[in-house]
Amino acid sequence: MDIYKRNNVTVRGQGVQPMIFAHGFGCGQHMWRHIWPAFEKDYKIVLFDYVGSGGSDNTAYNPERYDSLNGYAQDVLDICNALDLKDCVFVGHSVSCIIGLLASIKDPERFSSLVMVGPSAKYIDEPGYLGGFSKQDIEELLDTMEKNYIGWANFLGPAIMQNDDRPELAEELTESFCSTDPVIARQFAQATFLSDNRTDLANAKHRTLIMQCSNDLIAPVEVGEFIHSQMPGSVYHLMQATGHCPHLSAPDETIEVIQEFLF
Amino acid sequence: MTNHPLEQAKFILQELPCGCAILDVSGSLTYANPALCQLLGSSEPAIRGKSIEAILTIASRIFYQTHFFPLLNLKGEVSEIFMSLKTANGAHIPVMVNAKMSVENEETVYICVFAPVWERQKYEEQLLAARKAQQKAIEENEVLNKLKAQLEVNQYQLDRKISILRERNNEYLQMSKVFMHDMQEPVRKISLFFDALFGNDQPPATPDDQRKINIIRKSIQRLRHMTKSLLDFVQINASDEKINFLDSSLIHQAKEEVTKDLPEVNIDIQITDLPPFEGRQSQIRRVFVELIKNALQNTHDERPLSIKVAAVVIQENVYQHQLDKYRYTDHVQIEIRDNGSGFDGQYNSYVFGLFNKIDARSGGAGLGLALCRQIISNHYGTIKAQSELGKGTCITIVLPIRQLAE
Repeated sequence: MDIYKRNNVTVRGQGVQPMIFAHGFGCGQHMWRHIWPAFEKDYKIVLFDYVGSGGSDNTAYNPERYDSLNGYAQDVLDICNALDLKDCVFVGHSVSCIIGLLASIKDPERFSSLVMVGPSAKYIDEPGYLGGFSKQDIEELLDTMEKNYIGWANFLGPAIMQNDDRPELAEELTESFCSTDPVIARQFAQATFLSDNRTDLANAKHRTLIMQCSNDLIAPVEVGEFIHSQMPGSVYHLMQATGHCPHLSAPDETIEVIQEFLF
Repeated sequence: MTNHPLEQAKFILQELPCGCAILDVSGSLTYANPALCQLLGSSEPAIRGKSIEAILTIASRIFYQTHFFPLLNLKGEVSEIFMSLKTANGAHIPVMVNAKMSVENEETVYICVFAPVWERQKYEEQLLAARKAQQKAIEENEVLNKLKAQLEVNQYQLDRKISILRERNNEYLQMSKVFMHDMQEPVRKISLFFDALFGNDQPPATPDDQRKINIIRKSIQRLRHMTKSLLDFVQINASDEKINFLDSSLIHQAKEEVTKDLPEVNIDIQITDLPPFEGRQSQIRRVFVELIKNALQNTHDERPLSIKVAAVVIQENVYQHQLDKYRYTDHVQIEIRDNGSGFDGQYNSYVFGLFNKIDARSGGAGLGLALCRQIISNHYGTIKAQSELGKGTCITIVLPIRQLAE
């Protein structure tokens, strides 16, 4: 199995210590395009797409494997194994924070620290826990996603055809930016939003930075604080950036906070 | 109505038959046209300055954050995105959204138009439902056919493997027993007559003879030890002990077993609570006995032995050999970390081989870790070693919490 091809692995940078950037639900490695260049002098930058996302090999998708976040964590470990990575800094966005945590518990030697951008350990509310969503909200999300694939077929179609005459790599990658397979995206959404990893937090073995956005609907401040309280030795940083994608909307602040943690 | 182009443009914007809004980089609404305000049952001053998320349903907010915004940011425009608006009184309005990124007075802004799709939405829902039903039927059929074919192949292969394995196992057990018992007898005889010939009452002929005698005596001892260990190794496989829930008391028992004949030895073992897991008690205890013995044999010269045992519950795939089969269940991951002399990391897997020893002078027969691996794999688990010379060794055991399929 060619892991490079399967997970669309890109390696850059002049450093020795690896820094893995893992994208969240809905997108691919291009989410990190404003962030990784700031670290390429000091680290070996590893970018990838989970199977079923971005430019990965969709034929490698296995509904049994990716039915829970464990399968995604296995992707991370497979990449560490294939590239023989040790002492990685793992930077995860959104659901990737927990995916990275699971991988780091299973194979601690591979990791040195975790950077969590907008993490959540459970998205659905229950008595005594505020996750931000009800089960019905998630059902509606799946519905919204489904309806958009009708539109997406048109809206991605012509652009992909353009590629035949202009096969520039950048253009092609832009098109594979977001999840395009409705069945896979739906299962990823379910694996993400129905997950509950609260008990895994206490098993963390590495230094962890929790980057919490102000006013983040998907991972509210209460969730970030909960994670911080459950993870011994974690560092909590409340960002000025709002929304769920500070690496897109406030790259400078994002870089600064990560650098402060690492250097 | 005036013919002045700017006035006309303003008029068009006011009278536009669809909602129109302008967002700043942070996603706040800096403008909403009357049609949008009317749709939302609100007024422009009430909406202005609010986040776009305030006028979306929760599901659409998630979609906005995970797909819409990243895509708009990357491509500069998105079109025909389905979302739901939330009105002032909580009603949901299905809309089609087009948006583009633009620059106004050197500030990045996003211009969005919202067209309600009440009717279109009904068609689409029907279309989707029909497609879903069809897809489900096709998939189920495909999946079933594939499973059926796979099942047949698997059953056939499994049956062949079982018969071969069972046969081999029986032969192996019998052969080993015969081999071991039959080997013990000549060894016993050699030992007996050797002692009769060169017992303590016989004065040694020359110092060189004495040296040779000692070598032979040591070799006999070693041979005895090895046959006994091998017998052990074979028999542990054959035992039909019951499966029970086990906990950390097992490690205390193992420690006592190792240290009971060694009153001068003091091992510091720290154990965090193990989650209860299923296993054959005496076998798993044996694993810990062997591991503690090993640590004891490899204590660092400059510090007393200290062992830390920690455990976490993780989820692992129960299928170890079938490719493309996944079922994640709860496993216990136990780490046994010592501060001993350690060994070179290149031997991490070598140490589990039968009779494999890194240090030829060390006391053991090279069976301990092989035995551990045998027991752990009989419990459908894995064991691995990570060691660093001079620093210590960490043994990681992963075992399913339940031995039988749930």
